[in-house]
Amino acid sequence: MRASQVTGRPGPGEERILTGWTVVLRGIRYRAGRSLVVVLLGAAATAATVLAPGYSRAAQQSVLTDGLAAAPADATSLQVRSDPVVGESPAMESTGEAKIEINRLLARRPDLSAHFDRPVAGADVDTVLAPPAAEPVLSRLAYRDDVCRHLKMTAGDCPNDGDGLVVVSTRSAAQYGITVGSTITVRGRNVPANATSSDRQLEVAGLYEPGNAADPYWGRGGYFAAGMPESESALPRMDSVFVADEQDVTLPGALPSVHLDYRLKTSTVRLDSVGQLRTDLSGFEREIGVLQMQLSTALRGVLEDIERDATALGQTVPIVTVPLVVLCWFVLFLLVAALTEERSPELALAKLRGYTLGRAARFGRGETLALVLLAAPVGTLAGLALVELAARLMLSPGVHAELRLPVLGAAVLALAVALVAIRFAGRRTLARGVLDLLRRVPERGRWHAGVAEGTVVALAGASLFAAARDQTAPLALLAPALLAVVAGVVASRMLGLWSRLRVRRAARRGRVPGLLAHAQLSRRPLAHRVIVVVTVAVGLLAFAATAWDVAAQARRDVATDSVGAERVLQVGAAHPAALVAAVAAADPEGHSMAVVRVNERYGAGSVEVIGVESARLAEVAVWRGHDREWVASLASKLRPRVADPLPVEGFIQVNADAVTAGDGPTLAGTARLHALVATPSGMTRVSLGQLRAGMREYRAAVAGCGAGCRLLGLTVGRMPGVSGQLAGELRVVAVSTGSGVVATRFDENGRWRVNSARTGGARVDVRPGPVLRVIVSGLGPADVNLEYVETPDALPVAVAGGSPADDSSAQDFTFPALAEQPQSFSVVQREHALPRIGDRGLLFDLDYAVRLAERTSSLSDNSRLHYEVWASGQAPSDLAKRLSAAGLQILREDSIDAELDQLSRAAPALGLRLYLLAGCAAVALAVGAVLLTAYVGAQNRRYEFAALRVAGVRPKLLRRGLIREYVLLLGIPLAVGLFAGMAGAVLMLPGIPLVTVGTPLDEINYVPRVGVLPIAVAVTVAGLVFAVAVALSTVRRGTPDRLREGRP
Amino acid sequence: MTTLYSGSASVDGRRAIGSAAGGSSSENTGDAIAVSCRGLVYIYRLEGYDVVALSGVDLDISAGESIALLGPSGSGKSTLMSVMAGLLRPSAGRLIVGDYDVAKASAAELQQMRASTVGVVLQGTGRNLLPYLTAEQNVRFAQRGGTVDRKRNVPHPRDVLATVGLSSRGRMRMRPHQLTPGERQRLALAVALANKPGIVLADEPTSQLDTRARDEVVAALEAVRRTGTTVVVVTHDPAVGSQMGRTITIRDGRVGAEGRRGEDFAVVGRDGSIHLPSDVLEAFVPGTLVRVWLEPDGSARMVPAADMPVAGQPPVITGEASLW
Repeated sequence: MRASQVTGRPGPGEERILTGWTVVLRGIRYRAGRSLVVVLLGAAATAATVLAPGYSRAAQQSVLTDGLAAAPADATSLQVRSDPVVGESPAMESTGEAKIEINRLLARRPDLSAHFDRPVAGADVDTVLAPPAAEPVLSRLAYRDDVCRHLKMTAGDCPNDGDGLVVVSTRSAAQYGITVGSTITVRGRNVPANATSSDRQLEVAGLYEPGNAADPYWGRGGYFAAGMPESESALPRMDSVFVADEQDVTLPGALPSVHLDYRLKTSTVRLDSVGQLRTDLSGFEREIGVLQMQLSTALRGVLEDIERDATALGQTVPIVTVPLVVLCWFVLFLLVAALTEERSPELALAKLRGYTLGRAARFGRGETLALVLLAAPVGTLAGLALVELAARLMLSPGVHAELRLPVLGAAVLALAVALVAIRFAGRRTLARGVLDLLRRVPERGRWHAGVAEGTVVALAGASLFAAARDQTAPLALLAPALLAVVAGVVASRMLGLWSRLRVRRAARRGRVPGLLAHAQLSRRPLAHRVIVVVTVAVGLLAFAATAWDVAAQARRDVATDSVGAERVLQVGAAHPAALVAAVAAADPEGHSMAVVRVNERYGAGSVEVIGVESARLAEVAVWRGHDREWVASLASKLRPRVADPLPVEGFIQVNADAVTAGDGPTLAGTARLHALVATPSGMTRVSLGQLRAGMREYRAAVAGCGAGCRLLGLTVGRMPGVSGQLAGELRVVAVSTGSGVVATRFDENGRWRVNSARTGGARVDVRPGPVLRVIVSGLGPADVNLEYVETPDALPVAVAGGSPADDSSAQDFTFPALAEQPQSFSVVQREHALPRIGDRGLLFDLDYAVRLAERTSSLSDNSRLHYEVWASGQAPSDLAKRLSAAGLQILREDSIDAELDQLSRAAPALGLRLYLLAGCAAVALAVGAVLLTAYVGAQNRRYEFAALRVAGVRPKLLRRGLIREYVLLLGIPLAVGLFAGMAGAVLMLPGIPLVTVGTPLDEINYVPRVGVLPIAVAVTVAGLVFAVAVALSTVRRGTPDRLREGRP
Repeated sequence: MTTLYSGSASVDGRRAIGSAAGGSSSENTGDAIAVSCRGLVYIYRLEGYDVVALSGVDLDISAGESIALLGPSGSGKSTLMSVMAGLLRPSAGRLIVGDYDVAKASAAELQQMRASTVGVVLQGTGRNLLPYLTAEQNVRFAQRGGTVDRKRNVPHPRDVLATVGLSSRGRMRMRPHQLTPGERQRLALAVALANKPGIVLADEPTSQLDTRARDEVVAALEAVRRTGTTVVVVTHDPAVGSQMGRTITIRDGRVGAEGRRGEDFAVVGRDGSIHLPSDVLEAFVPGTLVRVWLEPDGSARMVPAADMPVAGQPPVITGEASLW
């Protein structure tokens, strides 16, 4: 039995001590709904404050990770090289020795080595290689760790060991007649040809194709660089020959280069480690230099570029974070002031019982303090959770929210702001006397509010002025938010004035709902603050949504411009004709297009030259600002109808008559006839023999012309040993080839003409007709060239960025096209930008360009040319596989969607996402503030409604009045905020990077399309409607029995 | 016996004023205290105009008395109580509550007065109680306002609640909304007694109560008085006033009448004015010119000007008043 049950008094240990925390906790529980709103609002404010540093950090990490992943592997990898120096001993004689030394250095730098994979070692030497039945070529004799796993064998085997065994690329083997089992002879490139003792015999064990030439395994590459001679005197080059045994790359008089390739593990590079990485690289480079080796890497440059993007992201963050933090503070201030005001009767009670000012203040602030302290960690976790969610949805894989010092600092700042708000917001209420606290008259606005508003207006003016001059100035960055604040202040003042007028009018007319609504709006200072909060929040969201929509459209435009078609595959091909044939085979429906590109230096920059299949251009190319009909029209201009080419297959036969008329001059017996034939490997002069009198058939086989060859023209030249100037007439009757008689169009005027640059002074008269009559006089040593005109004289071209000539507006100019020889161009269209190649380039028909180029040089294995296949959305999904089967090598695939995805993870897009998050957080705060004001005033409103009902006002009228009040209270700031936000966007967007850090402003269209903004508006309206519904529900219980004493 | 003062004359010589003047802060041990008002004036300063709520109140309340302040709405009763509680500072005049000169006391001294000397029951129980604390906790809450030393001497909440008849455990653990209206009002009274004040000021303690609850509250007030605490009740209910030892009618900001032992007396003010009983006022309507003179037997005679007597002869009395 307890002592109290015996004595009736509490015994020892049964005393129930009333502590301050007991009162606080009971009060919190008593006002559970309002307490929850306070915690949620406090947590939202903390989360909003934490959001910026947390998201910025994650976004910067994402930019770093994506940037490193997108950079070419050879740019981010390290290559440690030891190149032989003439007359000196090599620093490293083998890959094994190199690995030991370098690993020793790296062991002393564990942080550096942690970022890189195990090295791929290689050794190679440049050689002159003599195929069994072809002229010598240059080739790289190479050893590489584990090479067989990265080669696809098309014949023979890839030996893993074996002295003197090599593998050769399939295409080089075909070109130079090398087969499995062949013996090839190699010697060092700089070893004299007559030093046969330095020659080495190697046996071909297999033929290979690279599994993936773009695989980072190949390091700096250059292994598959077969092509034309580098200079007129140099030998052509074939693909690298791989050895099984590293010792085989050491040749007499030719020591190999030894190198180790370290591939970067991009996921290990964190923001914090970038500085240390740079420092370690520099130190490592110095240490390697001591070993007489070289470090080659572009990683530092890549990191610098990425840092620039990340810095740009950081610079634009304050645009929304500063106003968001200020909004949080303002909402917290509002919160504390409202809560303290709500508890005025309890504060009066405490003072009535003799509480000192300090104790009464602690009593008044205790609940709010406890709730805010609870909200701080909740809000911090919520903010981090939001960042984590954003990271998983939007950022690079492997990026997470991090609890770091700036985040903790932001949480502490939010808590400090809340504590300051607690300290100062309710000060006026706490200082009032007992009787003032017991009264329910709302406080009047004081001059302080006017001064504060005036200050904000002045600041807004200053920031707008700063923004007009320099949108990147720190004060200018606050312009959108200040604009929204000023708009909110003006809206609240105007609403107050208007409400005061409407009250009188409604009273005169007896309109009860309007009277109630406007009476509340005209006298509640809290209402004015709510208007400002909602206006600023909606303004922030509208700014963010507008910026996002503009940027989204800009990203799509930039992606479209930079890719050029829905999909683009970069491929390897032997020559343009092979590319065209492969594309036709892979996609006979015509949804893909062969494209050949060359980058030509011009002036201080370069001009991108691009040949396309005009017939497919409209179907495939995505050209911003132009529809399909326009592109088709351009395509027809690029490919005016000239004449079909004259195909040559297997042999060529010319039926011609070297006319002899009495004693007149004749070409018979003194001249010879040649056919100029374009083959895949270049232009060929096919000798048809000496001209003889009378109608003869002149015939010769054309090597390598199974398909794809065409007749370019005929030449008439003096027979060797014949002197003097010749004259005579040649009548060409017909030309035939393996596929039959060729439609030569002799009767078309101008179809056959003399290449006057190559007549050597002879006079030639070409007369069209059923028979082509060529009348020559003064034929000297130089041949007379008769050209079949199958292309326009000047290649029609679409130009972007001005003609590459002295006069940028020149209609006709010459410039290298696919061949190095300058080509005549005639401008048919000028554009601001061309698809994929940008604002400085030339676009022309590929077929005509090839025809013209092949008159002067071969395009086979031309390293200047880059081959691409552009595909529309209707192209086969397995296009890459089909192209590979047709003989092309797939190097890389781009698409507009992939580019968009990449751009959407670039720094500007990530910054704009933060804007959106901040805008949503601001609206959540505003909704919370509206809920708070509803909760705080609920009891008073219930009593008011109860009293009004007792006075005879119908509930329906009370509801209509309340609804009208909230429609005005929230509808006006919604509209004003939208306008202010969009106006702020118009003002500031040109100063904010929207796509990439360097995207020129004139490429961006600042007119937003329908996108996120309507959704943002809808979400905001839904949130505010929810708040209104809650407000309505709190006063639904305003029934007359509330007036009875003691009813809560 | 309490007397009214005219100037500084004392009728029976008993001092009813506390010893100190000028805002003394000596501890009140809980013994009943007296209150003395001299020419007390309070003016409400509103926007554009002033309202004189108290226009010179002269009043002495003895320690341990129970007083009812009666009067119509707007007569100044609640204002007088607020001034006595230190919630309003007098615009003029003098007010001594126990050892405190309210007109001269600082805010801290007034706070201390409320913590130790004066207990206040506001009109409406909701304003006196925290709805989320139990009855016992409400009393303890009020006791937290005192100083540490003072807290050692305050009665146990159970004892306080016992004074007003709420000492059962069940009642002590109940929150206000769980109590009946009468119990709530008694709890409000107990909270006012929490710090063992010398005087309890109660504003309309029986408003909105039924008869039974009213009687409970009145009985509780009497119990409080029996503990030696001075009780001052503001009420407009004459039935409640009749239960108090003494009633004082406030009219137009001044003490107009007083009731003792069931009898009503008009009170002569410092300036010699007097509030006539209502039946006399019907005969001598405001504005009536009267002559007043002292009779040899000590009574005063008041004759309207229309009934002027012949010189040397007693006047014909029609509608006259005799003032004792």
